Parts: sequence; C-alpha cells; structure tokens
Amino acid sequence: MNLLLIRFSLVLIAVFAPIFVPKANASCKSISLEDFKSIVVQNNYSRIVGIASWCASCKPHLMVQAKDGERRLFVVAFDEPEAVSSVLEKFKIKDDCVSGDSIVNFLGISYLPWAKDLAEIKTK
Amino acid sequence: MKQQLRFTSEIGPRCFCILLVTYLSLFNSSVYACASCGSGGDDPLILFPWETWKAHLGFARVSDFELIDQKGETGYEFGPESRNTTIVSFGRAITNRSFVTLTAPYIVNQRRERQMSGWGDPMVAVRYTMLQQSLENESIPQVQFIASYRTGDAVSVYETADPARLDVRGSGVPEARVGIDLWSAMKSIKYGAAQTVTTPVGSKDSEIGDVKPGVAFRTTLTTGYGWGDQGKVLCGVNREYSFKKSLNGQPLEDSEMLAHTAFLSADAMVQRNTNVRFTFAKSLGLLDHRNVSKSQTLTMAVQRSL
Repeated sequence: MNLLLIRFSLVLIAVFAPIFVPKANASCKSISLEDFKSIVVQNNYSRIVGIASWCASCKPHLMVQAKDGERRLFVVAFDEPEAVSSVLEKFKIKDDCVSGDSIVNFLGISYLPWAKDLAEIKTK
Repeated sequence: MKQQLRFTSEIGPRCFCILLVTYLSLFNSSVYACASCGSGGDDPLILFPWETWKAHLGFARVSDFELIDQKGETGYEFGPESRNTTIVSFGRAITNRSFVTLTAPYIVNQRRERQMSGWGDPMVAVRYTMLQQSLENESIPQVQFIASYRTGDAVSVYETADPARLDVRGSGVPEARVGIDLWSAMKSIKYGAAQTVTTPVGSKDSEIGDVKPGVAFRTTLTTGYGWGDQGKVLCGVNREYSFKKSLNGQPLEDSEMLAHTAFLSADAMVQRNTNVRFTFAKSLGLLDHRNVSKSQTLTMAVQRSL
C-alpha cells in the first residue's frame, strides 16, 4: 500500500513539477540603471515597453513585431525576468529585454501595459 | 437577558439552539462575489501580483431575510429586517507572491424604525500564489492558497440584550478557514473555482450550554467576460454546507446547514489605480436550503491601489 502511495506521489510530482518550476531562460538580463542608460544610447532604441508575464493586457504588445526602423526594448516590470523571458520566447519576440527595479523606478512604470517612445521619455 | 430566557423557555432549548445557529448563518455566508483577480472564495480584497498596498471600501445592504428550518421550510421569523454593512479592508504584500488583508465590518441592523449598530468581527486573511497566471500558457489558472482567521468577539446571539437581536453582529465563536482558489483571467472569458473549509476555534459557553458550530465547506464557481482592464461582468454560485453543531459535546440533530447563493457582479476601472464594483447576490430559491437565512444582498465597493 505504501509502495503504491509512493509511486502515485512520484507520478504526481513528475506531472506537476514542470508547471511549478519556471523555465530557465536568460534573455531578460538584470542590469543596473547606469548600464540601462548607456545601452539605450548605444543601441538607439526608439520605444520602451514595460511588461509582465501575468499581464493579460500586455498581449497586444507581443502580438505585433517591431515596425520597420523601430527598435524596441522590453523592460521587466513587477515580475521575474525568467517568467518574462519565457513569454517573449513563446511569442517569438526578438527584441532585447532587460530587468531591474531601479530601471522601473527611473521610467516611472506604475501600471501595465506601459509603452512609450524614447522621445517622450526624454522630453519628460 | 430576561427576555432571552423567557424566549428560551417558550420553545425549548433544542429548538432555540437550532434557531440560533440558523441566525448565526447570517454571519457565515458573506458573499463578496468576485474580487479583483480571484473567484471570491473568501475575502473581498485581492492584490494583483507585485501590488504593495490596496484599500477596499464596500457598502452592502442585506434584505428580504427568510429563515429556513431544517426541513427546508420557512421557520420562525425574528431578527433584523435589513442589515447595512460598511466593509473596510486593507491589503499589504508580504512577498511578491503573498499578501495579508485585514477586513472589518461595521454593521447596522434595522427592524422597522429601530436600529442598532457596531463593529462586527474583524478578519485577517493571507493568500499565497502557488501558481501565477502567465501569457506563456494562458490556459493554466492562477492557484492561490487561502487562510484566514475571524475573531468571535462581537456581540452574538449568546450575549444579546435585545429581543429582536438587533445588537447581534457576530457568530460568537472564532473561526479559521483554509482553502484553494483557482482563477483564470488571461482571456476575455474568465472562470474560477474556490473551495474553503471553515472550522470553529473553540466553542461558546452560553446560557443553553457549550455550543460549537460544525465544520463548514464552501464552494464557489465563477464565470464571466472581461473587456481588457476596463471592466468585467461575472456571475457565479456559492454552495455552503456545514456539519452538525454540537451542544455540550453532543451532536445536535437536524442542525446541518445548507445554503445556495447566486451572484452577479460588474466592475469597471474608473482610474488606473481605482475600481468600482457592483454586486447583487440572492439565495437560490430552486435549490435546497436548510437551517439558513435566505436573503438578497446589494453591494457597492471601491478598491484603490495605494
């Protein structure tokens, strides 16, 4: 009986473990605010998009690829970078992605979905 | 107190006790309908992931009370004709996946031109998100563990000094609740299910003896439609079953409680951090009820992320 219970438990763990353990994906790098500022200038991004894996309303930003000449940078907001990386992978998003609480504070992301042109951020 | 004792002697302690526990069910089956991102299995306030502070202010009017006895028939009528409750709740994140809420109701009981008011039993609740929803797989629902504790300090039927029991604002027995709440809201069509178990913490030493409510199971099923962040309409049903109460350690025959409630709620985002919600809940006449007070509830609530 105990053996049966152990086997049953192992089957349950094998089935549900992949759901609870986030997939390892390093595409959303955690960086400092200084690094963020420098890569924004170096890479000439034109649009910054705040995103979280649990944000259903963020989906429209993932359904469209960047327009011609547009360089988007995704910023992980209120979420784990691994979780957002998996979402970007699922939607086949090739744009860069960064993570960092100081970046979120600097940009003033207090709600989602959040997307702004870089020109708008600079003016502000 | 004399009036209460006279009432007791008129109808017998056993019948009196059943009526009491029926009346107590008024305080056990609050229908909060659907909270912001959960199926409303337990508490009125649910924080979004990573939200740090949130406040809730709700106004509920319960009316059309109808006491149903152990056979499902309309029983002896007493107590308030309507109850207006102001619900104040604050939520604070503990970690990115868990938060605690403190909820306190201010109750005004009314019967004809008489009314009595005061604070009900406060409740502290904790939720832990075991599985968070994700755009990676929109079909997998959010899974939250619920635990709560409600005090039993507010005036109950055991201490009442009012013949119409207008001063009664609590069950008299502290209770602990645990449960699981599933909520899927990544798509326009939403659905949720919650199951909780409530157990009394201790018993009540009263005039008629040592009374202990039974363990209660509550199931909530919810579905609805949402328009992005702008708002959603939800409907659902609640089923609550409570095992037999005990009097002086002995199970009280015919004291099981069964209640079915349907609810309809609509909420809208009025500002980026503020939601307004209207809820109408009514006991389902088509389904069985036992030892319960059928009623209808109209609630208006405002939630604001701080």
